[in-house]
Amino acid sequence: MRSRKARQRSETIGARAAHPPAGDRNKSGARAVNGISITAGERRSYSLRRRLMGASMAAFAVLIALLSAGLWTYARSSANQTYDLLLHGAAIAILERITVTPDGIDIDLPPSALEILALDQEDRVFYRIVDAGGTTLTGTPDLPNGGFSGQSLPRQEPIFFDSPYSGETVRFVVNGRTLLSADKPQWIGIQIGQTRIARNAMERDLILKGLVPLAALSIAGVAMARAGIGFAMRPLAGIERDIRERQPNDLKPLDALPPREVESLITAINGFMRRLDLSRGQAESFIADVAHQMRTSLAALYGHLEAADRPGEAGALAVARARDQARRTVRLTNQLLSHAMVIHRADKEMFQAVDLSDLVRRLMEEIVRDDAAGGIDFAVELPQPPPSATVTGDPIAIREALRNLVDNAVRHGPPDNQITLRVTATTHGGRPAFAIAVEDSGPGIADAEKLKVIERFYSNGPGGGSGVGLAIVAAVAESHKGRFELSDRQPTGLRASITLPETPLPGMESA
Amino acid sequence: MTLRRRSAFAAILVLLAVAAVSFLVVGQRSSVPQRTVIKVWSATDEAAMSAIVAGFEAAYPGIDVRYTEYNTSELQEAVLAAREKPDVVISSAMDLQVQLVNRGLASPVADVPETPEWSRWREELFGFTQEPVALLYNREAFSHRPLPSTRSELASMIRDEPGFFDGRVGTYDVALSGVGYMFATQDAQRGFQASRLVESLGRAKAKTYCCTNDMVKDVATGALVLAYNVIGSYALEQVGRDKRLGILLLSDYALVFTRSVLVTKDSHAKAAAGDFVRFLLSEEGQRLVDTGSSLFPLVESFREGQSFFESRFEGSTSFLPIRLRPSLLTWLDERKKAKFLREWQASIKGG
Repeated sequence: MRSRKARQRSETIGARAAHPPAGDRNKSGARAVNGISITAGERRSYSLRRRLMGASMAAFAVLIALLSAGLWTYARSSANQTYDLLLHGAAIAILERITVTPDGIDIDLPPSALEILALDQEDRVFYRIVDAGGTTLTGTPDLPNGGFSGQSLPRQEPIFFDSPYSGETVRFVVNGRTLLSADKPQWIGIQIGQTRIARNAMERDLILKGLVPLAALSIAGVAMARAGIGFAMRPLAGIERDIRERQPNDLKPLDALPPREVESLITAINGFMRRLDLSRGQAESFIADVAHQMRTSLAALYGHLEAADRPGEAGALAVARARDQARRTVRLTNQLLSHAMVIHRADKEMFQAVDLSDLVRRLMEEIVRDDAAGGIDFAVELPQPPPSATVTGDPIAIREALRNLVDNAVRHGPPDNQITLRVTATTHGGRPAFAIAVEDSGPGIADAEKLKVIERFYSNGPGGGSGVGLAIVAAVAESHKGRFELSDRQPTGLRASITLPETPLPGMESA
Repeated sequence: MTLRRRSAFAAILVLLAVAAVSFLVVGQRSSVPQRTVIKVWSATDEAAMSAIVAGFEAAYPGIDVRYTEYNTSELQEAVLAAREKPDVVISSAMDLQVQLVNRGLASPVADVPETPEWSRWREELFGFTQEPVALLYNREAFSHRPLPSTRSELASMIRDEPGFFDGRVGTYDVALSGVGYMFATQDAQRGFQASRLVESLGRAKAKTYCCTNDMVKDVATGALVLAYNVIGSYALEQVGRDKRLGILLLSDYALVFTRSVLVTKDSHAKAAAGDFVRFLLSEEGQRLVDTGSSLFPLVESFREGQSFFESRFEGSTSFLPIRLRPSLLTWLDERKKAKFLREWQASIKGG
């Protein structure tokens, strides 16, 4: 009775298992096509070398611009300072020779004053001497009075300013002095101007002397940066060549000693290759196992059918055996498909919020409906408060795992079996998780066997199954980054528990 | 008779027609190649410059020189006042030339041959002669007495022998002559003996002159026994011709001045004017200065150094060139000038 129902369920699962992978394949195929078109259309490859060069050259350009601005300011102010001293010196020399005599103000322009300004070759010189009212006493009357306005005239400190005059920019100094005479003190001022030829020449000279080494330094810097980048990038080229020249089935780790900056990249590549190697090995052994199992199973079926021709009871027995063998083969096939599906579905795209309480409750309803006539005592224990038992996962895979556990409990337990499904909150690897345990009162599994039964096609006991069921459960636990464990139940029985984290670890799908 | 008269009339008509046509043709032809005219305003004897100008016109057939002569202070005023500026200004008054350049009235000339650094300024003002300032004396008057060798000796001599020198020494009237003023101020600026010498000259009731030539004449006739600060180049020409004259460089120092040339900023013929300046300082121009005028060429005398002058003048000395620099402007300051003239005149007259 139970076996018939089991077959029905198996067929149902088989049908279910057949469809989603097809849809999945379509979906992932479309995505791959999209991925290719995106890669070709929008994301252009870039050169690290060019980026580094661009960045270093931009940095040098900014540096040079800043230094040039600084240099220009420095050159201008130091040229001005140097020649302002001369200008001021000339003003002092002239002021010194202005005296008060009984006849009035005596201005005896010293030749040395203009000689000082003529020390330099090319510059023209202008001057005038004014009284406190701004009237020109001698010299050129039409000099610009930049800082020379009436109220600020009586000053002692020199003021310097640039002003256009006579077709050129002229640097002027205005300086003054108070003359003491018998009746009242009298202020007298001197304005001297000098064209900027010498200043500008000095400024240019300073800038040039600063800029030439600066430019040389920058060129050398860029050249060295270029050489350094080339030197630094050389290991990457070696790694690239190593990968490019490999045979397709050569998945040995890269043996290049990577620079520290790309060490994690190389480690990741090596890890990826190791996993690729591992999964390829697993796939190969799975296919070999499946082929062997199917061949054996079909050979047995064929043997029974051969014997069915025999007359009498022997023939009937052979037919019964053949039927039994065919049923087992169907079950094996379904489980293999289920296993393949679970492994195949180990993909983030399948993951969604799964309410474990709901899932367990519905599974239980289904099992109880199937097993209506049996003597097995089913129990469900859900956490309180109920609504929180939710994990991110693949509901179909989880359901399949639980169904396999319950099937195993039913198959290996006594007729009055007591099967309990218990959902409890726990932690896994320091993260919140839920454990779903299936407990039975059967004979249990010896500790030595506990690891073996999880392996594919390992079967024990008289009611031994195909040997695929627990492998599926283990695969589901693994694809959810969870844990599958078997333990003993007191006084007798087995406790199979699958622990699923509430949310998969970030980056899990890439691992 | 009538026939002959008619034929004569016809012949005259034909001649007139031919003349008219040929005049037209010639006139047209001469107006076709555009001749450039440069106006040269100069404070130098036209006689001294005519050979140089002729040489320039021969070397540059496309350029005509219109030469106008001024004295130095007239020239300055004329240039400043002129609405139509001349193309080239030549003057022996270095201070006034520097002033023109300092006011921004000159324009630079490129590719001028190399000359001493003191004799050019801003590539706008170029000296093209080198002329020492000398002491001119009457040989007869000094036949039995020693010649002074320094300014200090000269001052002592004049002071010690008033009978001999009284009224018989001459120098420039610095109020009348721009060049004389420049020599006097340079003396005052350089030598501590200057004021003492001026005082001595005043005590000896020195005569003052506007020009070197007048002093040369009076020294030749014996009206003067010596003239202080004469332009060496002008005087030397006369000394060569007149045995009564002697010329001497005082050994403490001899001022050297230069005639300078500039191209004005407002010139419409800057290229031709530049050619004139370059010609003046070229080998050929300098040769013409040497041979075709009484002036001394700058380049050649510079090349030969001291010996150039020592072969021409008595006495050896150190030459102090007056530099074409803005410091000359000091002495153009109105106050400074007024004060200097006042003091100088007080010394000359009050002695």
